[in-house]
Amino acid sequence: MAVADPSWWGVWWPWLLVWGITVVSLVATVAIAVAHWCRHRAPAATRRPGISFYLDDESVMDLYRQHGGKYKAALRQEVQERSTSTNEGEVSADLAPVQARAKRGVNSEIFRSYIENAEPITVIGIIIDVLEQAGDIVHVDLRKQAVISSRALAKALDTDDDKRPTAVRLRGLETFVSIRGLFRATDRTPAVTTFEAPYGEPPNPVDGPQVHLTCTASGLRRRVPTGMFSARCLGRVEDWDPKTRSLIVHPIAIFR
Amino acid sequence: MSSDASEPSLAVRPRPTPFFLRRRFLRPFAPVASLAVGGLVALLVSANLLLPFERLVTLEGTMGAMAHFFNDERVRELLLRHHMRVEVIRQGSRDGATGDLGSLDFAFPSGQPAADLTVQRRRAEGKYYSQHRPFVSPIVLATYREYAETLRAAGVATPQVNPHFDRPYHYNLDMVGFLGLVRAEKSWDDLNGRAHGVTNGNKVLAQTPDVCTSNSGATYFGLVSYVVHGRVPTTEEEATDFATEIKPLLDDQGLPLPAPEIYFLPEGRQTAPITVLYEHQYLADQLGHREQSGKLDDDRVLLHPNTAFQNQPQFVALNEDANRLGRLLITDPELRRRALELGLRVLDPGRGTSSEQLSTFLAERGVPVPSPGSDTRAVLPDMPLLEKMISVSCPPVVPK
Repeated sequence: MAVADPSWWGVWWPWLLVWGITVVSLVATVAIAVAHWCRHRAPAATRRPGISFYLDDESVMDLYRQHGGKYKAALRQEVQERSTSTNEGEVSADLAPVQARAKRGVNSEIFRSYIENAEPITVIGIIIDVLEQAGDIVHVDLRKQAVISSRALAKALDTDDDKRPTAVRLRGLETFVSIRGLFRATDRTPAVTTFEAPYGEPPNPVDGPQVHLTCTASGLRRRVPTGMFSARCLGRVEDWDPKTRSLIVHPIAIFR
Repeated sequence: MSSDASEPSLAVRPRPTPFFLRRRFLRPFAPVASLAVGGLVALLVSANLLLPFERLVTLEGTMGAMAHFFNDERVRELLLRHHMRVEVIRQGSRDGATGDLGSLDFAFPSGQPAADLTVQRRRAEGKYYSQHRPFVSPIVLATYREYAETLRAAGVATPQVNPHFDRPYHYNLDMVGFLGLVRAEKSWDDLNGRAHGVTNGNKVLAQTPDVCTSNSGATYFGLVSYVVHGRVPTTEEEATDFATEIKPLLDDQGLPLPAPEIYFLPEGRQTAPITVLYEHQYLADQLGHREQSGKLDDDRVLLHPNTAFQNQPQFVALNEDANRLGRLLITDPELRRRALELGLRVLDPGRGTSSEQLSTFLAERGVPVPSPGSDTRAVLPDMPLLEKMISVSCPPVVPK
């Protein structure tokens, strides 16, 4: 090889320098791009949290079964992909038989087994991916009193993407919403737990309008945090109750 | 925002700018990516993309007077730019042609006879060879000013007039007259050399390298024969006769010159007042003087035989790698330019020699340009006949 010869270096060192700088800058270019891509692959408003404490299995099954089968194929595929890309050693004992079956094809029974046995956050990830791909999820940030402009919002409001309104109300949005806000448990019974988050900018957040969630006890996967906590709720808006000044949202999943 | 029973409205915020359009990403990314793209383009255009993986081809070859070309620092640098390195084995051209070629990559004899000998051997052995003729350099007689002036007074040398210089550096030599002095065994003292500063009682003659081993010696031998006989021999018997007849004209020099470089040493003036060498060796010396001191070497001058012989070194490649080197010598502009700077007359493919280029180059550097002189051109006999002539003075060739 020529690089082992000092006299060759004497002639070629400027180009070797160019070569070295090019390789280093190429590696740096890729590293910077990958680092930023990883950091920003999901916008801040939609970034997934690490802890989920509520998952309504029935609502997930409804997604699978209803909506004219709109999400069925996508959900099947997501489950199948996750099943085939996971090493056997990494799978929990509960999920192993389900995944073994899922690898041969996903049907309704397997899908139910999967969402019952998989980590809730995995199931939430699948649902969000499918809804995002379908453009059926509007992101709301109650702390900033803002809705993120998106294809899903334009679709829900039936407007062109470039003619988005400057302000919207959530009542009547016939799509899924992902609401980030400061929640607190306001009522607990053996059957349900109610959460509320301030909605709007009243002088006293507790007294002002609220986003109201009613969660079944069977869907709660972890202990409910005490006091105010930042969380995101994936669900559907049901109605605005002017008497209680509450926006009723049907929760599918809540995670922090 | 409402404080009554109506639902609050939320501001619609534009979706976040994609990360690749954000300043925070672009600030580090843009300069680094520009550097990478610029470097890639430069490496692609210059064909250096795979530079660290290049192979350095080391070629070993025999050569005589052409060794100084491959030993030149600039030439070595230019070859390294083509990932080549040449290891020179210094040998007389004829010696090289008859020596062991098995371990060599090329032979670069200074003249055609030795090259023909090499080619003939390769052909007979059915082995690879290819020939390249990158440049030419005439055979000349190099001497010192006082000796040239002595020959001028004797009527056998005529200075070439050059209005740009106050004294001549090139003389035309009447070969018949000169050989007449040699045959008459005239000494420098006989020619009244003292009048021109020569104190040398030796006979007038041209010193040559060993006729048996060197191309310049053999060529001068052929040239003398041509001048004396006016033609080349046509039969082996005639070749032997011609050689036997002219042999005394060369034998008087005693031991042959160990190397023509002695001419450029201070002791050369007494040891070898007239030396047979190639024109480029003299021109390279004058160019070097000019470059180093800004002055010419006033002491050394050239005698151009009026029966000239244009010597043509031949590069004989013995394998494909060497063939690539041969092609480079002919096609690479920088190598050709350097050959010119070393005083060689570079051959233009299809257009003969580039003597004009050499003249222009020498004039630019303030080095006297030799004029063409006589149109009479000597020719050497065919290789077998020349070998026959040489064999009168040397043992016959037995290829190793």
